[in-house]
Amino acid sequence: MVSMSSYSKRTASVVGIAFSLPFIFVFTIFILYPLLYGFYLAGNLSNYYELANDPLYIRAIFNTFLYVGVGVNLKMVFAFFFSGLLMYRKYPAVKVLSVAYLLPWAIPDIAGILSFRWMLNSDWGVINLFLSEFGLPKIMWLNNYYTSMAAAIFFHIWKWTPLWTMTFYAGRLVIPPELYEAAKIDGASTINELRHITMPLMKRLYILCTLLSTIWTLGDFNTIWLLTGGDPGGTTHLASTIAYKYALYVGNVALGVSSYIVLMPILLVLIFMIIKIMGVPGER
Amino acid sequence: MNKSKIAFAIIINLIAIILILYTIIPIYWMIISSLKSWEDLFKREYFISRPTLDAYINVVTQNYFRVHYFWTQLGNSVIVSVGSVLMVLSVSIFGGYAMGRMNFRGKKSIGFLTLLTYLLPSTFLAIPYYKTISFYGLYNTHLAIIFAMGALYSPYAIWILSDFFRNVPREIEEAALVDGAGRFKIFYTIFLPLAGPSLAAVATFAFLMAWNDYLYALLLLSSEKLLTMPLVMGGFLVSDEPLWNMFMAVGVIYSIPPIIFYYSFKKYLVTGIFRGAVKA
Repeated sequence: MVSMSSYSKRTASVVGIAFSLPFIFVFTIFILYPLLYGFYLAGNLSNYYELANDPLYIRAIFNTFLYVGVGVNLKMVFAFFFSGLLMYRKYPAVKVLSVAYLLPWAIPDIAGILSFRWMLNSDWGVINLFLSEFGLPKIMWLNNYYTSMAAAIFFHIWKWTPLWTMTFYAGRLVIPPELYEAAKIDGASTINELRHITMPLMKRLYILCTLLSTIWTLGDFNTIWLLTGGDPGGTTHLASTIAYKYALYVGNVALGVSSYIVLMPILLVLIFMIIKIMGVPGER
Repeated sequence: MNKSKIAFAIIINLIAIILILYTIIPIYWMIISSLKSWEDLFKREYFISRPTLDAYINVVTQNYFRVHYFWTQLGNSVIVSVGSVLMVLSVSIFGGYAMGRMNFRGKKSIGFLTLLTYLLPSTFLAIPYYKTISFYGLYNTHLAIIFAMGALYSPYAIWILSDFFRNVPREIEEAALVDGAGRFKIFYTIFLPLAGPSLAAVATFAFLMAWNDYLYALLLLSSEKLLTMPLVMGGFLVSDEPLWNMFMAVGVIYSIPPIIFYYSFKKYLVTGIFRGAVKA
């Protein structure tokens, strides 16, 4: 690498480790130790027996797959087309959109959720007020399992699409424009350009982002905790939120840790796939 | 041909307008509600007829029990965020330099650990972290959150900085080596001053993560005077008081710093892990 001639390999090694020490130190004390402690807490198998017998926990696992499966895929497809629209910046409305679209991502989770809670308020929320213009009845959005889950997934998509739109947009910008020009000369339709140029070239990025987003969505705590609070009747919990119900309200920390450690195998597979596609940062 | 071009322009603009509405309505409604008086708050009006700063005045004068410590708690958010920035910087400056500029045994393992930390959802670590912090005697302190943010968000910072350090031309460093400067001296006299913009991006990222954090604050803080704003706002949601204009005013105030940061540094926030993927 850099000027190895001036240093012996051993000195370089020592200096390299020395510079990495702050990270190793922080990692060991604040990540590794808690992680190992978490595994220790989750080691008691009776916890899993208790979880398996809690219908709300089974429901939470089902909800997790629903939330992640629907939320991530809708979000990624949406972001893919959203980023395509942003390529047409010469149209005035697109120009405005290209500035505005980041806002949901830029405001804190909690501020966005406060606004959604107010809009969904069954008595005075703007959504029900708007519906009443057409003589439609008030809907108790957050008192019903289906509308609560739908609201949570909608919020998740609203909040997180901009990040992936931005990423896909960056990906689209590095596709050489000559490819599209050549396709135009050959008389290719927009659909064919999408199928034969954009999609193959974006595939790797799309898969990588989907994997990453799946991991992070599995860890999405704020949306459900703050928007539905797991209600009505604890039916809308996810693995990530029911863990905190057990730990904070029931007061059983070990049960809380066990309730999401169940997802660890899925996480490890996803992490392995990402590393397989992308490599480890130090190697690049 | 021309006709279809016009049709295309209309469709594209129309879709864009729908997406603009979809994007901004929740934010628009937050702002509009914050500017309404108590009497107008529950009326069916989509535009504001009589804007008032009443809600904001009640917040900044702490004229209601839920915002009784508004300035203290906003100050707590600032303390935690600035502390997290310092923590992330002090870890990632060195780590980034080592990863970007040096070759050493164990580099690959450290790269792997940074990736693992980055990928692991912070939610998964929070409960054991909260127990661990109690062992360390740091429960109900701002330091507990600062350490969490420092540990969780240093990896991303390390990547941004290692990308930067890797791209500093070799000649600059070699000239200094010829002059007999040591590694550490080269690091702080040559590399650090050049890294300004990347350091700013890393600082922004850490600030935003800490500013937005709800979960760690929920687990780690209990005294009312130590709470950060997201927790206070979470408290609005479990309340039965319909003081939505005041709640929205707090939401607007708390959103302003991150909006400024996101728009100033957006190009740095998308890169990092995706850089390799985007290039390929």
